[in-house]
Amino acid sequence: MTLRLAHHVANVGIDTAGAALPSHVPGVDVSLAAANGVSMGADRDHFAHWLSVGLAAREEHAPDVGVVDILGISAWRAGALPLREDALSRVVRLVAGPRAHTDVVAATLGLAGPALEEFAVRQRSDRWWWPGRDAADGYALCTGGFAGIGGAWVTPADAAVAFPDAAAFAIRAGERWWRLDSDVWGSRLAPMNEVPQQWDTDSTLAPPATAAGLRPLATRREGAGATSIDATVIRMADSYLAWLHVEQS
Amino acid sequence: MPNRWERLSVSPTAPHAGSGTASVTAEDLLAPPADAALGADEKLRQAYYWMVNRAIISPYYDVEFSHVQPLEFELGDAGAKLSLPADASYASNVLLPLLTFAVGGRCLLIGGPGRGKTTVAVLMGVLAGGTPDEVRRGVQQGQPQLTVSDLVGIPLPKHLIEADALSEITIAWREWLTRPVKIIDEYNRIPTKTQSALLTMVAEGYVESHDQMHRTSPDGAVESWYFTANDDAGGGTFPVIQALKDRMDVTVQAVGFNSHFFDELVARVEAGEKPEEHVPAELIFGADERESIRAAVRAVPMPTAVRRRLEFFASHFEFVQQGGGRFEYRTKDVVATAGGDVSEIIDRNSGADLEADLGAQTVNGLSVRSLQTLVMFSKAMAWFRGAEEVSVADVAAMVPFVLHGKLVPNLAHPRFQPGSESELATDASSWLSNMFASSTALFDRLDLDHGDPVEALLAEFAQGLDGLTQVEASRRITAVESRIKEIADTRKLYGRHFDDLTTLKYLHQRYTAYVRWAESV
Repeated sequence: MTLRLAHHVANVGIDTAGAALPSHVPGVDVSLAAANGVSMGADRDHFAHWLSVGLAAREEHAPDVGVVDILGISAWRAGALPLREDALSRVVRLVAGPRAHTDVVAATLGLAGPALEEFAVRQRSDRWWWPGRDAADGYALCTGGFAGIGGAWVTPADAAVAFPDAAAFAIRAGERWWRLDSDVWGSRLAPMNEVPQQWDTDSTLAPPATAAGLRPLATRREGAGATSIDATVIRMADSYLAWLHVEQS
Repeated sequence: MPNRWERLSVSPTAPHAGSGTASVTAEDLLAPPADAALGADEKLRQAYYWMVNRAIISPYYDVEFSHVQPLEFELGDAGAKLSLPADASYASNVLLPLLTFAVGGRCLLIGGPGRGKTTVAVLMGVLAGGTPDEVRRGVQQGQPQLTVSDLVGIPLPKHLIEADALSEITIAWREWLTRPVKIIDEYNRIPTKTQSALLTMVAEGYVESHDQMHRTSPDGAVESWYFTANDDAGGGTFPVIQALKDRMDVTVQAVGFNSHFFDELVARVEAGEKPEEHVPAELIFGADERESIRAAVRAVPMPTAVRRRLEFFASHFEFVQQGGGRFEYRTKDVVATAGGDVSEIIDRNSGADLEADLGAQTVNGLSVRSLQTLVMFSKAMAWFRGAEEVSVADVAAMVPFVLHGKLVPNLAHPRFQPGSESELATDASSWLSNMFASSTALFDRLDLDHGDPVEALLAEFAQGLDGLTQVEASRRITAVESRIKEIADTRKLYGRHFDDLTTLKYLHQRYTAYVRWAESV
């Protein structure tokens, strides 16, 4: 079995290990913000990196951008999923403003300026989109992983269902069900105490594996019309990870 | 040389406890550290693991949680089984005292001498902020000559001489009375009169002497009581008065020392160390912190499905078919109050299926006090595990300790006769666990989550009588009567039917009163 740990594909190639928090931000307890961000699911090193980049861009291009805006957006970028709605609204607001604001937001999210505008639009209907997803063959993230090396599961996932009222999946690994909430930057995998109501052993059968050893476990359609997407939880033959793959419907 | 006492878990003790995905704002990143109680569950778990790994050395996991059927091994030829639960499980002799500490309850520790009962209680006192010396000096030792004055304090001699009235006497109250953790060692060696003074303190939170009253717990403060006894069946120097026994929220058995950990004992003998002298400072709980914890515990919700199973469990035990004439008086309490033998009355009910009737296994019903305690400790268990709400597993875990000595077995029942389950006659904890599991299984078999006619009628009544027409009221009265007839037609009454029938009578009374009123206006 391939030995790999859960991660978001958008973070691949970005080295933030050991990043230091900004030492002094007027009016802001950065350590407190980092601690709260981590409790929301953010990776501390990612948060330190994107916050530093965002504050530097703010200082260079647009000091009138609120520090709290940078805090929220960088924490979201670092994986704090609960901040999604708030951070996205700040992104949309700032992108609609002066060009300099766009530059600051783009730096904080690690996106090029033009790509940021498309990002803000696409995020309304596709929470897993970022400019590099096509190059990643549609894979947005992987989750789970072998418990023995720090992952969550002792057996690979073998079933999944989509929740009808949330952009989330229930994934079965062994005898336990896990709930996956996610977007492009962050995710939360938490054990469930009961079998999901949507799971019906008689009718919810995953399709067989493809020739490449990919077994799609559950698909969720987001949106409607031209912008609708299909998000699919996929298990690969040689991995304890479950992947989230997204493509236009 | 590293201090072997100071090691605390650096990993979260409950990996999935914590924030979810509910939306927050960027301003929340700057919010001050979360309310003390949100991190306090982790701190209490740290205290638990420090105690079982460092202080008491208790490698037991008798409070089991498992989301799947535990792996079981049959041992020997006498029905012994060792189970390996899948989820974090706990040692009752440390867990229950800690939960008592969290909620401000009363814990009775029983077991043979030298098994760590007093040590556990002293550790609770140190966790509450007392120094080891203060806590040890504050332990009240039960002995046959212990008077009320010895326990609570004495009048100042000069005031006794000078006073013209009792109100002028000043009592030198003893310092231990207002400690957040109070420890009574060997409470079954305290004379009956002194036990009564103790009862007032435990039950009402005050003590009285020479017409002077002294509160033992400041308003709102959390106080926990720990009692020890070598024998919980009243085998001490004095029988414990029933009212005081009934005030014990939980009863926990002290366990023997596991010989595989003898090296630690040797180390302590060589160094002359005691665990209460090495409690890490990070584990000390302040008064405000304890109040926050208690509030957080109380706020843990109990879902309807869990509450219904607890209600169903409680419903089995009050009724005894030939205990009285009037239906409402056919209870074990009526029999016991009249000095009757409940076992004999149960035995007279030859038409009942003793195996199916859980109520036949007890000589009493559950008091409101014990039910409230069970709810509180179930919430504490859920809170301790980092759960967002109480589960049936939390209730099941607390039943053996909360109801120990409260739900008394009918030893004349076939289940306790020599045979495959006779050990339940001496193992109240296992018997109580089994009873709750049987009740829950029966609840599921009867599918009462989806089809409980009495609950449906109650829910309909709960919508109120405003605007109810006489026709509709009459329809409901007919529905109540029909349900009573359905129960009557089964020809076998079990304990659970008693609450059903008295509830149906209640509804009948309410609706008929309404109809009478409607007709009069």
